[in-house]
Amino acid sequence: MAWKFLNIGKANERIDALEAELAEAKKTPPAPAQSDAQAKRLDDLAASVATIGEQVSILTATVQKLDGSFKVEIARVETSVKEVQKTITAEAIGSRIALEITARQGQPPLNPGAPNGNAGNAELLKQYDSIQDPREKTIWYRKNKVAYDAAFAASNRK
Amino acid sequence: MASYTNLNLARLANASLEAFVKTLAPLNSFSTSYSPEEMGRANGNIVLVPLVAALTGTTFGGTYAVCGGTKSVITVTINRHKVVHIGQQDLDARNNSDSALESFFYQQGAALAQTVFEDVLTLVTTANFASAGTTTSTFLDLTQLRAARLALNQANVPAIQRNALIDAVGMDALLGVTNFVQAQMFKDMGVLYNGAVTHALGFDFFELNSSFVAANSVNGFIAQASAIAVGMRYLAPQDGNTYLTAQAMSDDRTGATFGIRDFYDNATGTRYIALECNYGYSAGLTQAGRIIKRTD
Repeated sequence: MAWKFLNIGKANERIDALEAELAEAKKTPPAPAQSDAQAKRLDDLAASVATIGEQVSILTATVQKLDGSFKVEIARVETSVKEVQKTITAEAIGSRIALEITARQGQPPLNPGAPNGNAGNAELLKQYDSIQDPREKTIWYRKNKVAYDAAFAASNRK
Repeated sequence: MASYTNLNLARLANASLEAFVKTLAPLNSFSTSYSPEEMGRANGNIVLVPLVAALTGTTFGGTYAVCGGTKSVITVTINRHKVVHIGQQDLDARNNSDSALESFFYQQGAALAQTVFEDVLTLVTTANFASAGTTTSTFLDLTQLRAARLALNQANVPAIQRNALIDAVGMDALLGVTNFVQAQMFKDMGVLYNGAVTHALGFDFFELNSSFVAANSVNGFIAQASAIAVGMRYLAPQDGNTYLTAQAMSDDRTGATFGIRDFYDNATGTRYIALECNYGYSAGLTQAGRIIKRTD
C-alpha cells in the first residue's frame, strides 16, 4: 500500500476542499437534467406512437386492398370449379357410353381382376348394368360370370 | 327401405334362365318367334311366326325374274301370361346365402317353363291333329311310331325338324322294346345308359311327364316344326313403375324370354321377385302333326 499523504496539513486541506465541493454539489439538484431526459423520452414515445399509427393506417389500407383482391380471386376459383364439374360430368357420361359400347362389342371386362379393388368391382357391375339388350346381357354375364360374381361379393363386403 | 345388397340378381336370373331354356327345349323344335322385344301399344300383340312349309322347286324357264316361294306364317296372339311368384321375408334373407338361392331360382325357372310348356300342349287334341294310332300307355311300340311317320310322309311333311313328344309311361314302354334296347341296331348307344330314346325313325324324342292334358288321352305327339307356332315377348311394366329391377332375361341362342319384376314391400318386410312369361301359341299346319292316342 502506497502512502498518498505524508503531510497531515496537506491532507486536511484536501479534506476541506472535498467537503466544500460536496456542499456545493448539494446546493445544485440534478432535477433539471432528469426532466429533460424524461421529456425527451416522452417526445420519442409520442413520435413512435405517431409512426405506428401511420403504419397501422398503411396496413389497414393494404388489408382492404387485399380483401378486394381475395374476393375477385375466390370468384375466379368458384368459376373454375364449376367448369371442372361440368367436365367431370361430361366425362362420366362418356365413360358410361364407352362401357356400353365395350360391353356390346363382347369385349372382356375392363378390369377382369375386379376383386382386387372396389373401383374395379364397381366398374364391372356398372358394365353389366349398362347392357340394354337382354341377349347380350346374358352372353356377357355367362362369359364373365366368375369375375362378376367375385366383384359382386367383394362389393358387398364393404 | 331395406336393401338386400347381398342378392346377386344377375346370378339368380341366369340360373332361372338356364332352367327355363332347358325345360322349354322340346318347344324349340317347333316354329317359334321368341324375342325380348316388348309388346305394347307401339308393337301390338300379334306376331307372325314363320313356318317350314312345303318345299317347292321348278324347272328353269329362261328367266330368273320370277317371284315364288312365299314364306308361310301363322298369326299368333301374345295373350298368355304365366308367372312364378317368389317371396322372401327379411329373416329368411338373412339366413340364406346367395348360393343357396341359386338352386332355388333354377327350380323356379324350370317351373315357369313347365307351366308354359303344358299350356302350349293343350293344342294337342284330335280336333287339331289327326290320330295315327291308339294303344294303352304301357304298350307303346314301334308300330305306332311307324304309323305316325308314314302318315307324315304321305302328307308331304318335310323330313327335317321332326319330333316325338312321348309321355313318361310311353317312354318307359319303349325302353322295353328290344329294338331300342339293342342299341347297336341304330347306333343309339345311350338307351339304357341314359334311360332315354333320343332319336329314332327320323324323330328327336323328348320325354314328358303328364304334360299332355289328361282328358285328351295322348300317348305321344309326333310332329314336324310347322305343327305348332309359339310366340314369346317381354311384358314391360308401365312408365312410372317403382320396381327395384324390371328387366327381360333372354337366351342368346333361342331368344326364349321371361321377365323379372323385383320389388320390396315395407309393410311386410318381404322382397318379391316375380318371374313371368308373356307368350301365345297356335296350331300351325295341322297335317304336320299326328297323335298317338292312349286308351287307358
